[in-house]
Amino acid sequence: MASISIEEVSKVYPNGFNAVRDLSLNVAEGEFMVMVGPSGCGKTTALRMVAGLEEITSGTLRIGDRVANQLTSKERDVAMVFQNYALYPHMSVAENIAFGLSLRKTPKVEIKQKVAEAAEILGLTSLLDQKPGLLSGGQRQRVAMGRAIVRDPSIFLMDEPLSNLDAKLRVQMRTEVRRIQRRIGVATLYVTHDQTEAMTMGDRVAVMRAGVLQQCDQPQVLYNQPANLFVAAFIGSPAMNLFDATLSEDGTTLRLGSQDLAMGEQLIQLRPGLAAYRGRRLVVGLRAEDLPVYGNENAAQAVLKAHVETTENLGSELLVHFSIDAARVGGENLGDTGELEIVAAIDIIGEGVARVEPRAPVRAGEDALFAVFPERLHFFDPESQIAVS
Amino acid sequence: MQSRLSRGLVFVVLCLIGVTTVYPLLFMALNSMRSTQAFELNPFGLPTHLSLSSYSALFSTVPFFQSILHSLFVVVPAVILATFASSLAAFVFTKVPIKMGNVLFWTMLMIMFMPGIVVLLPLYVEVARTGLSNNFAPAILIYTAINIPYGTYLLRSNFRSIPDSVVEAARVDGASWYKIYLRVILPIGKPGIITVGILTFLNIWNDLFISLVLLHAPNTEMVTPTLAQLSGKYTSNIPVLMAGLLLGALPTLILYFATARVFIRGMLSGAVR
Amino acid sequence: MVKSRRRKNVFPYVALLPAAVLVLGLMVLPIGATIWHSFTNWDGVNSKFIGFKNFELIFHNPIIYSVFVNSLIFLISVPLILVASLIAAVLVYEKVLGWRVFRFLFFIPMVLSPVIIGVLFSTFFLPGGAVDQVLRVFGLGNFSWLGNPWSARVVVILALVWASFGFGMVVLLSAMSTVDTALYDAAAIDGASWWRRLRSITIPMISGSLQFLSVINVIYTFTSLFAFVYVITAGGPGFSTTTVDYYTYITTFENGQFGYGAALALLLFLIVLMLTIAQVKLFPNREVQQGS
Repeated sequence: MASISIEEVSKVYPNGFNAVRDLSLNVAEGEFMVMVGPSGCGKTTALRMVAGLEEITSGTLRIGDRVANQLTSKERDVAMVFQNYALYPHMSVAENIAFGLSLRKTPKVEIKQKVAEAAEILGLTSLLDQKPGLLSGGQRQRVAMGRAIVRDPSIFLMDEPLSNLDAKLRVQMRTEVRRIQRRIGVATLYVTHDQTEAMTMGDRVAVMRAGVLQQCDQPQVLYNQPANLFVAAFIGSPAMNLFDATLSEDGTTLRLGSQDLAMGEQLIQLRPGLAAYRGRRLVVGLRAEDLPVYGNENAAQAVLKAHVETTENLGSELLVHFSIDAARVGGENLGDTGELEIVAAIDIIGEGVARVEPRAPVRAGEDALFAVFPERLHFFDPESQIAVS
Repeated sequence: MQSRLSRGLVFVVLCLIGVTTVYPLLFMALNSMRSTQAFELNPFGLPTHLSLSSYSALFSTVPFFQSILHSLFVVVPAVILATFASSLAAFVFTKVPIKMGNVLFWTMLMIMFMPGIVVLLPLYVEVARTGLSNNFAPAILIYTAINIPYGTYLLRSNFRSIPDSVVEAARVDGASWYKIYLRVILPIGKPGIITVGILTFLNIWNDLFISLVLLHAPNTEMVTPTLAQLSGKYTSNIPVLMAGLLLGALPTLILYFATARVFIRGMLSGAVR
Repeated sequence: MVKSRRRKNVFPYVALLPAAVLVLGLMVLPIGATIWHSFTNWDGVNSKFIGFKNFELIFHNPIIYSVFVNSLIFLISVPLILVASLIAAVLVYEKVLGWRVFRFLFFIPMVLSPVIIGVLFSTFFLPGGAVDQVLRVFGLGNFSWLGNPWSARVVVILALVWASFGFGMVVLLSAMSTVDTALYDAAAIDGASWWRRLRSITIPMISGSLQFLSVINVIYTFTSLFAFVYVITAGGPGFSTTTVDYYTYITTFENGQFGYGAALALLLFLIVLMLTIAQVKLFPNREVQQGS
């Protein structure tokens, strides 16, 4: 068992592409760290550098107390689960799991016992003599896990191990993977593009974009205090509503399109950083669940009037898709490219989502009033995209 | 379905093509058991009785059996060497990141398209100068070398279909490159390697040019030059000639029949491109 | 900043060694020697640099032209091989009763030596041979197939097509198996006839393989007809079936003109190179197949 310490690690490919820039990240012993980000953000490259499959251009990688930059995968004593499982097609399940051990000249009896143990944990005992070609996706995934855990590795790496499974199995395997990881208690670096997976699985989550680490913290912190616009837009489903807004000169009123939301002195008291934005544009963020339908019982200081486009009744909650006359902020395909742009044209209709109580009196095609609470708002600088607090 | 080609017609045409590929074998087999007179009267006739006199005539006039042995003696080691060297090279070209790998590969490919005579001409002189003509060793090595570029080319496209992640998994599992070659690439690539081995066997066994130039003495002559000369000697005695052709073709035919399943699958999986 | 430098891994170099040594020593060096000796009057023992004399001699040798024309004539076999391969592949792909057996049988010529095929064909076309006897039935017998330049060429071409179509069929079948069958279903729904589907889907989708076959068969025709010619006609009658590679063999190994032969061999390589480049340029639509 060991910790992983990534210190200012960069990767530049021979063609000049800079896949990872000055990444620093620590994974403690036993910790489950998830790296998440859109495809091409460098998360897989970072993982492969830790695995020893990709050379580190600069920076230091430590596994335990050893500098691992120049060690082979074998010397690093890592185990890895691949996206397509990468099982050896010519070996049975038992041989697949045993391969790493047999390369280390582990005695036959011990191999047998360890394989049996791993198979037991993963529920593979009845499949040990099968070839991988005959297994279902979920079973292959388990074999890949078995191959990794059987060796008692120092660290554990997983590259999108659940993305080839169907939706239901994927959700099931999330808890399964966490259960196994807790049981073996090894520092784990887990890569995914799925922010829900990241949020539900990680002890901590590292959000990457274009080779740069954006924020690394516990899931709740990422959700409640996103460090920048990208993290705010990427984490959470439905995504945070982000609108172009202007703060009044006195700092008490937020202008959102044609509406003035009176927030009072509290607004700047809660976030002293906002003082610098008096009379200036900024980006305001509202989580869907922070927009309840306005009623007398709400002690809200402001009311947002919006046109309801459609509603989705999920049973336990109602998703209200609304539009206001403020410009929405965010790229169309944020999940794919990580590109974020601020739509600044005044006449653009900004769309948003509110998550309200299922019996709320909201109808498509009508206007609705939502309560806005100053303490639940998020603010970002429109240029630097960094959170204002 | 209306837009389908008539299946009956397809079947008939396939049968016709099939006859052209099978009949020559039958022609050899049947006429090798007939007399010259019977053949000249009617080349399409059937043997009236089982006569192996053509075969004994064949063995008594040319050292046919020895020529088969010579061929085997050259072909088997050359096939093993060439396939082994090609598989190692193809493994490095596809799975091991090395500098200049692509340059080396394309150089090899260029060499592959050289007409054989460009290569053989100075080799012949050198072999003769060093007194090694009619010696098996240079022939084996030259056949091996000449078949390496093609074998490497075929196995490269074959190994490319093995996912890189399987090799990476083996590296993470702690396997050295040598172990990866031995325990991952060879077993997974086996059908492709067998196919390439068979193709190399056919190439060398069936070649006339190099064997004619390098091994022309009676005590080293391979089977193709023997057959070529037989046709000169026996244009008047077709049954003996047919007996020779059939026996000369037999090793490759047996190899093909015995391995057809793997071989055809290997060829169809794009191994030839 | 720590510059990463992995410890030297010797495996790839050791692994490349056998192939590299053999190819270098027994192919690259000889090629170099051939290039050098093409500028000498090498007779196998002595050699003296004579500049472009060999090439001059070649261009002043009238036989060379007729031999070159012979090789061009034998190129007729290339479209014939392509058509035969395509027919065989398309019909096998129909998967009628016993198609696997047919596929198995069509491979047979591929495993036979050109020597065996050549001797067999020359036997068929001997006076009084099988073909002659069939023609006699129609009152056309007693024709000396191998004694007449054009008919001798026909025999060689027939042998070549018969020997080569099996390999062509495999290449095309392998390409056809990568075509998405949904395309055929879509075309069938659109009401495309069998012929139309062949023309509009199959052939465009396998055009890359057709080009590949065309290239290698052209190369083969120029460089590897030696065995066929040697056993069927020995280059005759006259020089009418002597190809460039066969002529190079005669001048080199039978006449001992090694310097001259080296120049011829190099010329042969240049011709092949030009023909290959020309073909790659002639087929602009090779991209179609690249997706597979």
